[in-house]
Amino acid sequence: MATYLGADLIVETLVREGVRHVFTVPGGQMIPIHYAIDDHKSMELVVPRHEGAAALMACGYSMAGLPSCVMATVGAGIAYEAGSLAFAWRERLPVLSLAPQVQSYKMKPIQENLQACDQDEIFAPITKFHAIMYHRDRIPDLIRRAVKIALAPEPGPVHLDTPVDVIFGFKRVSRSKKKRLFPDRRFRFEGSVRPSKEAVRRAARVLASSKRPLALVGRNVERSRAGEHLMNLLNATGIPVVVSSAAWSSVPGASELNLGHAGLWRNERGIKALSRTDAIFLIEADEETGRLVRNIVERDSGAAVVQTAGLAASVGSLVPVTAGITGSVIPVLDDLAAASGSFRESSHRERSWVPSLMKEKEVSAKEYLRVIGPAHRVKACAGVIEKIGAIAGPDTLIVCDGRMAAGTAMTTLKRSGLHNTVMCADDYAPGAGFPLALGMKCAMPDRDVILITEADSFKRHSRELQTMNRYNLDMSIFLFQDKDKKPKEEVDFASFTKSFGIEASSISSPEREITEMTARDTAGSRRGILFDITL
Amino acid sequence: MNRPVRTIKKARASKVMSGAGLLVRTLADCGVEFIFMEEHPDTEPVRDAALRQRGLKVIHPVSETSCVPMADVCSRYTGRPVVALTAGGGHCLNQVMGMTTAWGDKSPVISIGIARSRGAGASPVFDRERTDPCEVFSSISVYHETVRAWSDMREIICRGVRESLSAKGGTVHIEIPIDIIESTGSLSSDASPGDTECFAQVQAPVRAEEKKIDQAVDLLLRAKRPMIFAGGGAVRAGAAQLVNDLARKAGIPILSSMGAMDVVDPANPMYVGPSSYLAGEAFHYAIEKADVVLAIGACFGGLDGFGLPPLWSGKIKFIQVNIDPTYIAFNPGAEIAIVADARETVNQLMERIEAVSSRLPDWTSWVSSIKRRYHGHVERVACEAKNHKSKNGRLHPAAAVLAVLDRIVASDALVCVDGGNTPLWAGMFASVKGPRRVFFPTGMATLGVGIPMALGLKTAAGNRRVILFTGDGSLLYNIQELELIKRYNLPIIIAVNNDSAWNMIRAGEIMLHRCVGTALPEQDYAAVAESYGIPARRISSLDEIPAALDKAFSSNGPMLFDIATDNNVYPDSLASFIRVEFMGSLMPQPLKKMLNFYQNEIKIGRNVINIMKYLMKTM
Repeated sequence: MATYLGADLIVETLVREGVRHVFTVPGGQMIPIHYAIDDHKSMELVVPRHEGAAALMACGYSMAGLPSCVMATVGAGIAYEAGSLAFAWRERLPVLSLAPQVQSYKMKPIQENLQACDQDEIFAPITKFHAIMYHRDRIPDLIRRAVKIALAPEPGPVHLDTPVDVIFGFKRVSRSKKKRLFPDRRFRFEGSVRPSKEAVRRAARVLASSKRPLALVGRNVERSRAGEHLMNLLNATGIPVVVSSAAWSSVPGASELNLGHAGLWRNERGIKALSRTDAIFLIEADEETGRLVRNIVERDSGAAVVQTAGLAASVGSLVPVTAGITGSVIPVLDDLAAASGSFRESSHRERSWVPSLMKEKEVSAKEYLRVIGPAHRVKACAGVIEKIGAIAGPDTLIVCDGRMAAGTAMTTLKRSGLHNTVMCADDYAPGAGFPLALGMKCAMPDRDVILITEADSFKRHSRELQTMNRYNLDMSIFLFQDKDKKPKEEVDFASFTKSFGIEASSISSPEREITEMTARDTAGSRRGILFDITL
Repeated sequence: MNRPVRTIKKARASKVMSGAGLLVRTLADCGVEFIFMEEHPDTEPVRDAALRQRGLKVIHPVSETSCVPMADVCSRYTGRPVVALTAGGGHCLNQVMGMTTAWGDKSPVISIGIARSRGAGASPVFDRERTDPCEVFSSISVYHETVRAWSDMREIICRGVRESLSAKGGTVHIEIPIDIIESTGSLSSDASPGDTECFAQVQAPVRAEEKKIDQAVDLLLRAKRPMIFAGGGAVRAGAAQLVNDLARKAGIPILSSMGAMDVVDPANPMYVGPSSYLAGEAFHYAIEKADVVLAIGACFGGLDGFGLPPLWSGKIKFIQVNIDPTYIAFNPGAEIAIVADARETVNQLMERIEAVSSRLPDWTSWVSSIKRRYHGHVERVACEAKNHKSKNGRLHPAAAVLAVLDRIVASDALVCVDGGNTPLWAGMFASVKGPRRVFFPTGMATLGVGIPMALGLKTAAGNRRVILFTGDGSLLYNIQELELIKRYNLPIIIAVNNDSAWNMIRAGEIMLHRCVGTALPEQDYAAVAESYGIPARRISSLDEIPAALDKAFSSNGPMLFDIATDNNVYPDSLASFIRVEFMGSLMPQPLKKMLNFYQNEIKIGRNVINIMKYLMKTM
């Protein structure tokens, strides 16, 4: 017989679910959970300075493919967290969010307790699953269920509330009871779902007969780390590929089939060029590729559409499909590669198709760069990014944040290796890049991390420089400031960074001051450093 | 609300205007003066229209997260609805913190999200883009709605303002698609701008039944130990001064809820201590011994002990005055329930008390007995603070707070208090005369809203200086807004209680057995402020405080004081808070935790003994 608090049951289940780091900002109601985590040698608390940053760090951690957990305290804590958990919701990241609630006899409806609000209702629209763990005996089961749902196709965040009396409540648990709570069984499917052979054959036939095929690749290829499998298929079949920004690093920059990101093609000219396709191969569609395929099909291109998705309901939901495949990404790509044989040698493939699109890509890239910022800034930004790209090894993680910085990087950065770059180009969660990078560094401490960001983005979570220093989450930060906008009174980021004990230097002439050697020294040195670059 | 809001005028007939124009025109008609607006391409049309609209002031915070906290305190200060406007999507969802805080404070904040059109069709691919922020805000707003047509906008905005001001008031969220903002339309001469009569009626004070007033006064006359308990509703109704006058006239001691920190005038002879737990054992003594409590605009939340046992005596007869019938007997039952405007009701009570003044019992000894306990509490803490010697030379937080308060009391400065332990230290010695002078995020005790609140307050308060008490745990949350303070060189003084810990939680941990995750790095926050170009100073001796404050008060700009304090001392009112919030959860801890407790170092044990002593006094 052993005594278990509700908190002990929570942590025991988390350990069994493989959680190793918990991102949290402390709260009184969570104290026993913190104690239980502290008692587990395999678990570690990471305490940033803001619940929103904690959630984004958990998102970064999840992007590295590890079980991810964020914990915020009742009321104000979860309120700070919610905005950032919405990022996990949109980006399909399986983050487990845990929070305490006030006592079970004083919640729902609330009784004007300090910090009480219906937090489950706040999270309901932005999570796949939410529940209140009213009884200690349901804790293991509900956490397991939440994790299972978070990981299931269209992954996403889940949220569980636990009343404080359940967290603090203790009871002696017999061996047989413990066995019932933690049975030695599997609780979720781990593996991959193979597609139907018939569906694969049908899709392969469509692609094989195509003269001008086009692949559109969405974020789940990136999340599934399926880049190599994707490239095997594309190289075997010679199909050119457009990626969404979330799947940017699923295709090597140097690939002759890489048509760049979807943003390049979302203009009249780009859509017209892509509309010449006669077969669209839509792989794990997301919002960006979903819009693009609709734009193409709306032009009455008459193209056949082959769609693959993990979620059966997605197939055919965007545009009518000629052939649909449901299954996990990697087996789908592998089976298709096996079934496709050697399309490239196919006599009816139009030889000028890929070169013409490549030419169009160059024009679109110039137009895109013109739109995302003033030419001189974008040019200077591209110059720095080029130097960073030259020194970053395939294992270096690069996180790009901000419309101009990420937009320029997506268009000009050439990277070798796969799944090593995160692009935060839209402004759904402004400033998410820095905490995401911290979370990724936490998950993969042995890898070098470079953050390329802009002042407007960085300032929103700049406080986490303290977290970076505290937990030795060292990275090199290249921060771009707008010389035209920057008024005299704007924060001096170099001094700000130094006040947290991190090395920093101000750079006003990046062409001269950032030499390839400087960048190489910093990126390879594994020291935290910030370059405050005025463009 | 104490100030009437203009009745809506019908928009001039047939004038063609953009959606942005219609929005700002309607807001101005509804009495909105301030819009805290995120700088974003999607909000630009509204900004441009607002700058053309007479009577509207637009303020751009550095981060959209700050819009609602700024609007929250601005509305609490002015008593009028204030707008927070951001872009849609994630920007809008970043308002959850501010909205939850403002909802907890029942502030009339109108949050508006300018939404991009979301993916059409029934594909699961677009499901998450289509997430409606109104659903997220549904449980933390009194009204939420999406504008679906240009012609509906005016009516929805009007309703939002009405709802935010109705009864106890509260937060509102309105989602407006950007294509409606950019489209144009015209109001025909018979277009209804909203139910104008109803709108005006919201502002009309409601009187109490005379019969109920008579019953209330009769009950008070029969009381042996009566007490007035003033809540946030008294401030909102503009009844703060009247409540003080009533207490003085009737000779009844007056205490206040945490939501009405500055409602009681410290110079009032009936003042027996600051709000709720902050009055220490005086509060506990009063709520244990009182037999009749006249509660004005109070709903008895957790920070006030719910008005129920074990803290409050179960024998108390409550006379409850509230504008919202749902808040009558919300926690403790009511002997006499009065649904009416607090200001009107107190006026009625005053008249009736004057009429029976000769029959008023003498409650002097009852008042003195509470006062004695309050003074004892203050003297004890002040003495501890004075004699405090820490190993690392850090100051006692109470001593630091007292030194700063001394200077504030003599000025007309407004005070913002951030979440955490700091309000407990700052509020314990509250001698700042209000009303609407001390602002604290009461409902949620949110950490980190201090800087946005100070900015919102400064916006509304004109020339008055603003002082912010914050802690090191809170300061960094919205540190980016220092940029705004510097940009406009706002005379805001920030006092940071830098104890290098999340010390409220750490105190709870020490009561259990060990500290995990609550230590914060040693950080020089003066250096952080200086990187924003804000003059700052690290304070490590009490003697430095008066001169530093003099310098700050004589300057026309901002200043930050990073006061290094000791994290091994705790405000004893924290124990009262823990007793209520963790009632029943903390008592039967397993034996191993008790053993760990005894094994702890003597210093920690001494702290626990102090807390236990305090708890004994409060029981």
